[in-house]
Amino acid sequence: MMSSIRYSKTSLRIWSFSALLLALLLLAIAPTAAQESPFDLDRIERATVFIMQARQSANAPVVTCVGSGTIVSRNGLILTNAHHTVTNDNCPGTILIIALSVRPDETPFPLYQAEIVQADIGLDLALLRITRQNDGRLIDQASLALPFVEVADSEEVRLDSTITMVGYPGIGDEPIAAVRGTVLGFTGEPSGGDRSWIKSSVSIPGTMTGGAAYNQDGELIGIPTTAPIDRDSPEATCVIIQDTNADGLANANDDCIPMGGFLNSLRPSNFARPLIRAASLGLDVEIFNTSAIVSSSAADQPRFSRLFFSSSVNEAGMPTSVIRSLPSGGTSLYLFFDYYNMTPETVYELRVTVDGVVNPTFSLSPVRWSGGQDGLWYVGTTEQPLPNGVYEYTLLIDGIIAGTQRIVVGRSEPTPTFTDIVFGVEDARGNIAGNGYVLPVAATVSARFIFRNMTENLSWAAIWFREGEEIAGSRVEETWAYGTEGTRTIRIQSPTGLPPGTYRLDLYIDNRLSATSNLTLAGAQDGRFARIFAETRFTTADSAVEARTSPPITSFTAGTESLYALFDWQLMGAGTLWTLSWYVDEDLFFQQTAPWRGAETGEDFTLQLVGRDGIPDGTYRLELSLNNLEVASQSARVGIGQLPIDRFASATGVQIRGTILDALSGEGITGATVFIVTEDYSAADFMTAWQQDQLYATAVTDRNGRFEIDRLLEPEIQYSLAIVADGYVPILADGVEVTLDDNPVDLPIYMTRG
Amino acid sequence: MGRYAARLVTPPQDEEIHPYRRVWASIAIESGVLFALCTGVFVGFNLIGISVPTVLEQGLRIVLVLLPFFLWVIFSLWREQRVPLPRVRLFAVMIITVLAANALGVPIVDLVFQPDRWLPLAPVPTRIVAYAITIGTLQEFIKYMVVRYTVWRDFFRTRLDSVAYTFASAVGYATVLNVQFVLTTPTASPDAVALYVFETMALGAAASIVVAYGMAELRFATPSPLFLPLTLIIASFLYGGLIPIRVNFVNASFSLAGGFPKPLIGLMLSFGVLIVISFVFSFLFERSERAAQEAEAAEGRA
Amino acid sequence: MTIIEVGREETSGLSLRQRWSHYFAILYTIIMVIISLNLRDSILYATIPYENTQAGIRVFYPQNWLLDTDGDYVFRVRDMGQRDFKTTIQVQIIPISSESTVRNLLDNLAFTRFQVYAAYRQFPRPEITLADGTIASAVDYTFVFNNTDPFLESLPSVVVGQDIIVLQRGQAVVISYQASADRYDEFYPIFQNFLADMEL
Repeated sequence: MMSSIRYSKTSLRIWSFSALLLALLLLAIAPTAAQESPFDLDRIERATVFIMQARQSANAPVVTCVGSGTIVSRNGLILTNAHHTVTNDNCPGTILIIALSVRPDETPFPLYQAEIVQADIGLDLALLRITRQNDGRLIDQASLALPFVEVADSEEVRLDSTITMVGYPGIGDEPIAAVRGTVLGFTGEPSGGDRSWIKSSVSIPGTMTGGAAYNQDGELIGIPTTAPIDRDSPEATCVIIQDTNADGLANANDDCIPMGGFLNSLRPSNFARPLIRAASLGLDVEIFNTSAIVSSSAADQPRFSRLFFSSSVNEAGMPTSVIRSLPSGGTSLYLFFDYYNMTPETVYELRVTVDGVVNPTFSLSPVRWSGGQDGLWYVGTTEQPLPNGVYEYTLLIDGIIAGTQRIVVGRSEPTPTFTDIVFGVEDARGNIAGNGYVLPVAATVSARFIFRNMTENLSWAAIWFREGEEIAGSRVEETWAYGTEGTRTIRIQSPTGLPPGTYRLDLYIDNRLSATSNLTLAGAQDGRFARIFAETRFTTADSAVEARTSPPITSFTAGTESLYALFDWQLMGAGTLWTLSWYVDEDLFFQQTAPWRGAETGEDFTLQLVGRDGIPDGTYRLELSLNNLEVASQSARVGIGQLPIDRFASATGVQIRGTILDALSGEGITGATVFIVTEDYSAADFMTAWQQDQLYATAVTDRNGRFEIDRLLEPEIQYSLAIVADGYVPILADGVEVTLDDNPVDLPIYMTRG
Repeated sequence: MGRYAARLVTPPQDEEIHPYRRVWASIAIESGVLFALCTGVFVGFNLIGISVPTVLEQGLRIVLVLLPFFLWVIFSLWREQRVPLPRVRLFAVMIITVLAANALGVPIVDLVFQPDRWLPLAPVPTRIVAYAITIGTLQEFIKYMVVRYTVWRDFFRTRLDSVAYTFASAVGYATVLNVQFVLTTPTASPDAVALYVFETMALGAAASIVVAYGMAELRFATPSPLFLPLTLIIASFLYGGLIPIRVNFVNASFSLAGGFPKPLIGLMLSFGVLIVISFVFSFLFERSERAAQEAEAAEGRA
Repeated sequence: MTIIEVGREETSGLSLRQRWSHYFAILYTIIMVIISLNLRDSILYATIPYENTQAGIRVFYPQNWLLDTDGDYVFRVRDMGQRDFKTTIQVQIIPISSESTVRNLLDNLAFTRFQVYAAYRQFPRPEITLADGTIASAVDYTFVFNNTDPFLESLPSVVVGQDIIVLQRGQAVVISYQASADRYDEFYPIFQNFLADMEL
């Protein structure tokens, strides 16, 4: 009996131990299962295209530029760079040929032609639409059902997260390459804030520019970007592949294809989202007062000057202070500089060496200029630990050095500094009021700054500039007598009033720049704020002229083909940078920043919003801003005031493909049709009614019996399926439910004759 | 007589001298061997995954297509010559059926009825009726006409002669269908050919037995004039009607692993139908024969 | 069981019963053939009504053809069981001005199709009279069709089409029939039935 009990206890222990082991095993397995990644490289590779820009020559198209691209919509929208697609001096072609690899291990084959639907030259982004077969025949957009990828919110990208960069590494002679790396950091610029660029841990060939980088969910988070420098530059790389002058020789006399070097900079996807949004909704914005926004072309050579560092940037894109060293442990460093005569096609580059060794993480590959013609710019590293050392930042324009500046990281010495300049209108009690960097036109403007580690008798100076020119009589040069730490306010005033425009304040300590900031004066005073734009309104009319007299409308009927937006303005100085933004359901789809070139005050600045197939239902908002600060906004509803759901917008789901075979011969059945029926109907319902609107997707087999469902199936939805072919008994199935664990699904299906 | 006299004993009561070939035994052996060989090929190629060189595979296909004919020659035609009272014109019936099937049966189905053009999407009951009245009726009618104008009535000496002749006709028709199948489906794997050959032969033989009963009754009894057409209808539905039923069982059901057919169900269904029909009609033949003998005996007593 | 029939008497002629049995067998077969041909035609030519009051058309389209009313046409049906090009019947309504002629419309159609279809060619044909007595213009054409999925190895197929154009009430009704060249004639009776039953 005792032995029996002992035995039972031993047995119990063994069973308990086994159960515990099993439970641990299950726990170990469970998270693995939950972490199944929906990353579908096969689909990503299918959505990757090779783009050849070509010009028409007498005999055949001559390839002028090449790059990669990514299909981002079912009906053939392709996201890529602008530099190799939009006609420019380096890439003078006008025809865009789209090639893709039918199988991932094959070189691309030209299949389509595309047109540019949206482009931002400076951001170097372009959105193309496939419009024709390669033989020139038009393509019905509705008939296209190409594999595409979804564009993620690049703000969600985290440091050290894994990314996969996909593109064509060759000039059409190599298959697609997928390179895996991690996010090393971010590079900031005024055009996009701290996340203007994502830095990858690995460098890829410059020919992969325009491709895409993906997160672990297979969503597009960035566009690998580098622009080849001017082909006349000594540092330019150019490949000759064709006898373009038809002299029977392919040699140095022929046109070449400019190539970039290696790149590790990704333009975040959020820059592309407005372009995609506008293109997919078929929206276009026309500005009638073009004279007010057209920049004068830069006649002189582009150049940079006044290079200095700052450890941080404020909300207006201004340096908080000017530094010459940075203590250990810093995670951000910005190089500021003034720029002149820049154009969106100018290619600039930042090369950073740390203790004499080139550091690709802090450097920026040659990229297009995304700012204006003249102004203050910065490029900097954020969210990244900076190792101690001597940093040398070298700026290049089209491969030629345009400026160099050094800074030491790891040295911490208390030095006298001025920081955080804020502008405002001073009230009777001496308080600075206003939004900091955009002030109404007034007789007096105050600037408040913080000072630290100051000592008596230090010489300091404050100099005010307007449109880059020092304002006569504004210079203050004194010996410091205001304490060690604190805030100080200075002001500039003019008995006749300060004219509108862009101002700058430079603060010096011992003749060294210590702080600087820009200020915009525009609009009339409205309490503490500037009233620049007024009477912002929407209307509908047959012409822009008629729109100016039409009554304002806030709710438009569904199917409205176009609407006009108008506003009045006052006291806008020439050259003042202003930004025009359009949102639909609070998603940005159009943005343009340009210096003001119009009259100082005026009425009825007119814009037209046009929809290719009518303006989709939604709530549209026009926003006007200066120095990143919103100064006017107006909304209007179209139809129900909410965008319709795009049934084909999702690229998340399971790809079904397979082969349909004859059960007797084992051969593929050509022309068999596979129907995926929506969850609302059974296969039998469909086979009775045969209605297109009951279908979720359809596919027809090729000569080998291969088929591909051109729309992804969503998990946890029960579809029905029907397969029909003349001479065969249909195969019907209900309750077909897919899971993301198994993607893509490749099915052999045998049909029985009868 | 001399033989018996030499032994000076009477033969045992349960031993009989049989002057005719035993038809049911022949059918059972032929069908059994055919089933065994076809199943073996299916198991070997489909389940075990045997692979043979292309030339051998081609040869195997030809052997399989002609297998019912060879088996019939061995177990029916050759054995027919070993019995005291052989049935004549068996080969002629088979050959004429081959010619008729090739000249009429196959072309009419392909060019006139064209069932694969309009039946795949029809509901199952419609498909059953349609296959029965097209393919089933045509096949059974051709076989009936061949037997009717070749050997019926004068060469029908026993009821089972009817089974022997209609079975010969069934072999001929099935051989034509099998040859047509491999000619139109040259890439069919041996296992697929094996199943097709067996199913065609089994269903054709089962339908022939039904018609054989009608022809035998008409020859040796006095059934209603509608009895023979009735057996033709039954045979038509047995052969034609079973086509969509078998296909429905065999047809692949879809899952996320693919859609695979269930050919073994078709094999077992065909074999089962042949066995059931053989048993049922052997019983009916025997009953009819017994009834006839009883009637004769009663006539004699009277 | 063994049955020996050696003693059975041979009869020289067929009995009436045997003769009628044979006749009935033949009659049964003839009736079945007739029924099966009727059944075949009733299935092949079975139709389903479709009415679009807004467009003012009422048609009877072939059963088991996929109905689609969501494109730039009023109505389109396709035989999805076809193994090559899916035979299509389509009705499209195009607004026209009072000055428009059939020639203008044909030119526009040809111009569009030249841009969309590969190897498009058009052949004029005589006017035809519809079931309600309307005289309609007609044109035949041919083009090469290919599956648009670039990842599949689909072979192009030659398609033959016919457009029937009726001008009425300030609009042109274009009734199109398209089938692969191999099956054009085979399905043409279905199109003729469609035209015969159509009400505009």
